[in-house]
Amino acid sequence: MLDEYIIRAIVALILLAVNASIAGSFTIFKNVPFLIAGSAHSALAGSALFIFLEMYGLSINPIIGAIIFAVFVAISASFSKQMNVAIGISFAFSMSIAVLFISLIKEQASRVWGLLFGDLFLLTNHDIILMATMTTFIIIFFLVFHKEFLFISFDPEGAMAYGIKVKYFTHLLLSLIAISTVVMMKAVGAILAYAMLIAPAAAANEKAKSILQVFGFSALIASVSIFSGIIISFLLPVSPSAMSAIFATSFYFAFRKF
Amino acid sequence: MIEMKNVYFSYNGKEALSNISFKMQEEFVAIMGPNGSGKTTLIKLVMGLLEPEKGEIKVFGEEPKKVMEYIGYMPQRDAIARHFPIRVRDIVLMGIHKKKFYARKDIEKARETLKAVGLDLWNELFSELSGGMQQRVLFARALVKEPRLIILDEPFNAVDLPSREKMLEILKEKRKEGIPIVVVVHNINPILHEIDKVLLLNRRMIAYGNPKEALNEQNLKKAYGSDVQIIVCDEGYCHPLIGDTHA
Repeated sequence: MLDEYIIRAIVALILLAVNASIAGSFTIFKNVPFLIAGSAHSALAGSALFIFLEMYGLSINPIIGAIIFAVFVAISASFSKQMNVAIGISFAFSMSIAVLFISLIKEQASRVWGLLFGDLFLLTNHDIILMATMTTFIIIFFLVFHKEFLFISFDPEGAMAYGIKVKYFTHLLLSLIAISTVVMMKAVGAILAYAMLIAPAAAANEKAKSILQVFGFSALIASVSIFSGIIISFLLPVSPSAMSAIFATSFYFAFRKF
Repeated sequence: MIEMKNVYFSYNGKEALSNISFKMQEEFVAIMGPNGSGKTTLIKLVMGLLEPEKGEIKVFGEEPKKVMEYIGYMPQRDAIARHFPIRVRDIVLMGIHKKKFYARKDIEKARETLKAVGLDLWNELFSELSGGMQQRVLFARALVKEPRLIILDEPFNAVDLPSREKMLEILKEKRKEGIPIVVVVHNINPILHEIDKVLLLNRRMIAYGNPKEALNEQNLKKAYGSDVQIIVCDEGYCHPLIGDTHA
């Protein structure tokens, strides 16, 4: 019999692979990898703020704060002509907010640090349900709008000329990527969410011969990386998330075309 | 079918187009001018992607935004992402993207359009094609929706001779079918004998009309800011020798 925490880690593995495949691939197509780092760190600020508010009786799940802040970065990036600059500024602003509230919540600060580093084995049933709900929401949007997302990533000007509301779909696409980042954070933390969303899709993009293959390969690379991370963490006293991220990034270096 | 009256446009206060007025019917028109002369801005105004600051634009008698669906547009290849493995079929089918699912006839139409532009391709990666073939794929995307107006931005830029010939052949056919065509070019020579009119631009309209009349040394000097060498061919067309390539 598998322990419950292992079952939860395996379910999380599947959810992470789905997110790495869909949101990770579109992050590469849209060429906004820095958005993941920006959203993940902004999400920390959102969580810290909501934990701070809890101390004053306003009890809302900190993950809602994480989503609001992550989406804020996505939207501010999509409004800007220089996306990376906007993400960088939002990143700096959010981290300042995060540090400010972490200093105010003192004894609760470990909850925010949990989101910074994450741990596949510390996920609760509630976490898994939340991650599954968000992932389902992401899948539905990508299934419905994949053509539009692909068109605006390939040729935004042409897409506009063909009647696609490029601004609207850019807001939506970047927001979905930001939400996907929050899903990742729950399991692997803010720092490693970047590696786990970007590296599998970037590695897959180097080898794939079609868009569908990018999705397939990135899901496979993410699954293998996370699974290997879990196995190694049983054999050695190391963090499974860190090992998973090392495997995922190694795939990229191995596949990269020079 | 395209009518501009006293159109002005600027980017963040910097004037891009000033007092542009012209009319075109079912004709083949080339827009020509140096880098930064407002050629691409002009076609974006025609397509409703930009709003004029002043003036009026009508396309098929309507506001440009209302007739977007009639236009087959081919952007500059440089504006297109080539860093992910998108296939030729995905790109051509974008021309009929409004359908959530493609029917067999859509697929057949896309394949036929590719064959019409001289490409027997389908599952090949766009990034692995030559520049000329990539242009032809984008050209096929513009044609697959059976447009009532064709607008091409630098379609012959970095294109090999066979690709250029094939594209010109199709444009001539479309012209015969009465479909108006607007082409932005740096080097007008490959199409000079085929076009009905040329619009010489440098933020303002320098000349518009029959290429034999509009393209002369004086107008070219006004547009390019210095003397432009020309060769007058046997048919009486003034071929400008402009070494300017797109930025």
